[in-house]
Amino acid sequence: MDFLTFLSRRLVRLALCLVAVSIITFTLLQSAPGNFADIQRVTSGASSIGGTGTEQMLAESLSRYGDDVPAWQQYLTFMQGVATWDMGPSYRYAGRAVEDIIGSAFPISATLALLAVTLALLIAVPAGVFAALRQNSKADHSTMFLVTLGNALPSYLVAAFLIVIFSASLGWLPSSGWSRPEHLILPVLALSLGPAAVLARYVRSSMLETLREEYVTAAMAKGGPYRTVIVRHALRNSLIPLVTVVGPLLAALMTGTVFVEALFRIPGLGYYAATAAASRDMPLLMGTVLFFALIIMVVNLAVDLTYGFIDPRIRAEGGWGRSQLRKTSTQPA
Amino acid sequence: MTLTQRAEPHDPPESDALLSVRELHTEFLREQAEPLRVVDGVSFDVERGKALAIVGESGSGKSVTVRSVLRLLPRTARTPSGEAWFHGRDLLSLSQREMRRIRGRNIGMVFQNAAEAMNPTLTLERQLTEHLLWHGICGKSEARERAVRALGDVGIPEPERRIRVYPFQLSGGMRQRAMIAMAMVTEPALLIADEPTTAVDVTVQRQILDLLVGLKDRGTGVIMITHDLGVARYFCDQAVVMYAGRVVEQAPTSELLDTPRHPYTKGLLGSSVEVGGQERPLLPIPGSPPDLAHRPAGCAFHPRCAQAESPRCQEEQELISIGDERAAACWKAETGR
Amino acid sequence: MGTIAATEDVDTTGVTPAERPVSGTGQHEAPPRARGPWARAWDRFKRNRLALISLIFCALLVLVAAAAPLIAPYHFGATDYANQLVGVGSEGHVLGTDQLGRDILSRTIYGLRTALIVAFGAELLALLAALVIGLTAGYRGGRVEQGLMAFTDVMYAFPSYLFAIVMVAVLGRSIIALIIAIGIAGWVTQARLVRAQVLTIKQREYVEAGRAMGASGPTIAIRYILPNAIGPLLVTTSFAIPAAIAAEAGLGLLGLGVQPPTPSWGAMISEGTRFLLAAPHMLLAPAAVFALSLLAFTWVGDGVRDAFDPRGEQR
Repeated sequence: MDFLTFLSRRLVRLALCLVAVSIITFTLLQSAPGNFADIQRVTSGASSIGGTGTEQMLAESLSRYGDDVPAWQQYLTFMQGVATWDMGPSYRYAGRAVEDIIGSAFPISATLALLAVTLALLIAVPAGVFAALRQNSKADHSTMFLVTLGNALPSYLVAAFLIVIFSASLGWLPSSGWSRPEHLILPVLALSLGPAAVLARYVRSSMLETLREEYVTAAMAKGGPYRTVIVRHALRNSLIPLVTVVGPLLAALMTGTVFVEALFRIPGLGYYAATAAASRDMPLLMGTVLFFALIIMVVNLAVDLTYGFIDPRIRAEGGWGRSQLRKTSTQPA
Repeated sequence: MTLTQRAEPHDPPESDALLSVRELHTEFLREQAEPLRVVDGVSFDVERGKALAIVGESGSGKSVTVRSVLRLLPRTARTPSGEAWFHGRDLLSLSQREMRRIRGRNIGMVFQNAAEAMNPTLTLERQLTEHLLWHGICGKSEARERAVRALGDVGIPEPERRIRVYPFQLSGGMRQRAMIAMAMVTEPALLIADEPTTAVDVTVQRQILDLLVGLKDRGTGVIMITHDLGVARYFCDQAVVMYAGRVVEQAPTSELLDTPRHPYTKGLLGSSVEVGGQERPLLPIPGSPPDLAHRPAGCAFHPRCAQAESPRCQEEQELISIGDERAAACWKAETGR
Repeated sequence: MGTIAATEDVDTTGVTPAERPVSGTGQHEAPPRARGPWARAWDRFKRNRLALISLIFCALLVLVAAAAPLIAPYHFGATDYANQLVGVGSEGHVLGTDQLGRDILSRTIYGLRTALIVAFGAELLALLAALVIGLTAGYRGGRVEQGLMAFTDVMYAFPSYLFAIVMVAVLGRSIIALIIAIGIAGWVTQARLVRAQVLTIKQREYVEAGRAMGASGPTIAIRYILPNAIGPLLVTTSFAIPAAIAAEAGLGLLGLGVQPPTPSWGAMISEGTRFLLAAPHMLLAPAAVFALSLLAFTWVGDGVRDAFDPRGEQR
């Protein structure tokens, strides 16, 4: 498959998936008793806002979606809003449009996720290579034990322990907020440990596999200095398939941000998704969920494209789409 | 060339052989068990411009023998003991650092399957020139010229263009030749070829062998591991037959194949298709090579040997010289039956 | 092949020391008595000490959760306004109290109960859905299969956590809602696994034989295919349990868990961050039990996987 066919097929699939996600979400939210406005009217009494502002907003929302139009028309209205980047007001956050909230929250979540992935790679690649080169040694076993811990514990639990240690006991770092650079440290650390564990384990097994390849022996037989052979022949090739794990990992990380943002009270996309769900702010919930899904799909596509570009076997032979096969077999359960 | 001769430690043997291996032992460490002796007292010589065949079934220790000489063993292996004299130095007593300067520069290695032995993500240029640079043989631009010339020498058309491609973009035969070019670009004095023709089809096999003959004629010594006796006959001057980590027979190739003395060699000939050319029934050797962890007492071959009826077969068999150039590890070999 | 059998025998690459005796010489010398696959899996599981200890710990957790009303010193909602935010080791409150004077130990125990009910309930639901849909898709193919594959594609882009969040927003905050939300978010992978199993097993001779003897579709599915699919299914389920525990706590953390005052570890951790300096035990006690439970269930999962797939990759 050549590059353009591959790209266009993937883009079509992405669009179809996005529509499917939006229909599922919309149908689910519709199947809750009452429509958007009714639910908000019932539950807003318990939420912190209320008062005339709410009434006014509900009226605005009603005029936008219509009170007695069929569900599919409401859906089309909403999707039109998505397409034109005008999704109307949020219920929970008086006076703010859904697209504004997403626009301001997304850079925050993206910063967290990208920093966490970077940190995870910085931890995982050396750790995995180290463990592989010393396979079955004490150092290998203890690295792998840490990997098990990092893998089993969700990011918010790691975050909770970090907060106890660095905020409550040592008092070094703040436990919540989002205004100064030090607010970044604990959330990024908490988010990165899980992915670092997954990556380190992957790097280790990929490296072990590559070290058994005959071309590594052949490079040694050519008199290659150990370090050069390890880096140029073994590490390089064992990192290529790593790109395919980064996609699912980024997806996992995006969901991780939901919890970590809630715990640290960081105004990111996940935080808004959660509060939207808790306060039944349906437009905001629809908007954030769709945006999340979009990001994850775009990231996956980007990862597949990257894979094609860095593996000469795909780049040279036009084997686009082959990375798809690889991903299904390496995708963590 | 006498096989029973043992030189004093770290004193080069008197023979003018290119490589003299004496009493090579290689052991692998195991969890909760005695180390496994995979190569057990192997000795042989390789002359300049001559080829030595190492023949035997899978698991007989052929590959481990040559990898011991090159000191390219897995981490579970102990440093091999014995001697391997090459250019006046005992390779087995060198440090890995000193060894590295010899590997690839003075001793080249060709592998069974170029698809596995060449890095799929590096271009030919990178793989054919990197060791020239590692060993400081020449600079980058000359390395490229040499690589192009080496590709041309092994019969790859348009080497200027081909040097920029990746191994997977070449056909199987072309790739195998590129690998030989990779080993030859540094003009090593000794070439070790580990079943270089097993993975290719017959026409390519012939081309590869002719290529190696050309090298031999220019004075390169070659060790060829093979289980194909036809290849050994065509290309090799001397042959060593290995069984269960030991040399069981050693002779000039034509003599070995015409008048095998050891029952195992006879068995190999009987189970081989091409040798001799005449039609005769294939007689595979019954049984399978021994598990080295449970080596049969005495002659390791006797459980499979059709002629093992005497209690003497239960005893260890030393290599017995037969004439000047031959030896076999069977008490019956002397009588020639 | 140019590889030498002898080197493969001794090369320890890819084989951990623990596995050596299994794959080593013992097999040849003393063939074990004829035993079923379950007994052999159990034998392998027992040999993994970490998994065995974890299994005992998990059994203990289940007991404690079941007997929570008997074991917990207080009801989870019982307030003690005289003792608000007291620390660990206080009179009458071993693990201290929260801002309303509620006993942390009792709430942690009831939190365990919530977590396990939701996790086991959700996995049971997911398993049932996966079996029905996976068996149908694998056995009958056609529409069900196409639908399943298409749905899997969509769910791959729709992170299960987000899906669970939407479900809770729709269904409200109750145990049943959580079970449904987490269960539905988790059945897809399992259904695909069942389907894959069915597709491979379907070709085997004994299934062909059964069909030849006139067994009906459902009979074949239940009698022949199901028993063979159970091993791999057990492996994924044992990994899904800790994931479901984490999901319950995660939703609780977001304020989407069970309705207060019923305790959820996630909600307790979230509340704990608000009283971090005054009462770190509010966060630490549930977090520690939570972490231990997750590790124990994960290690049981590791043990189950190794027991059913001893040659499987050490991942």
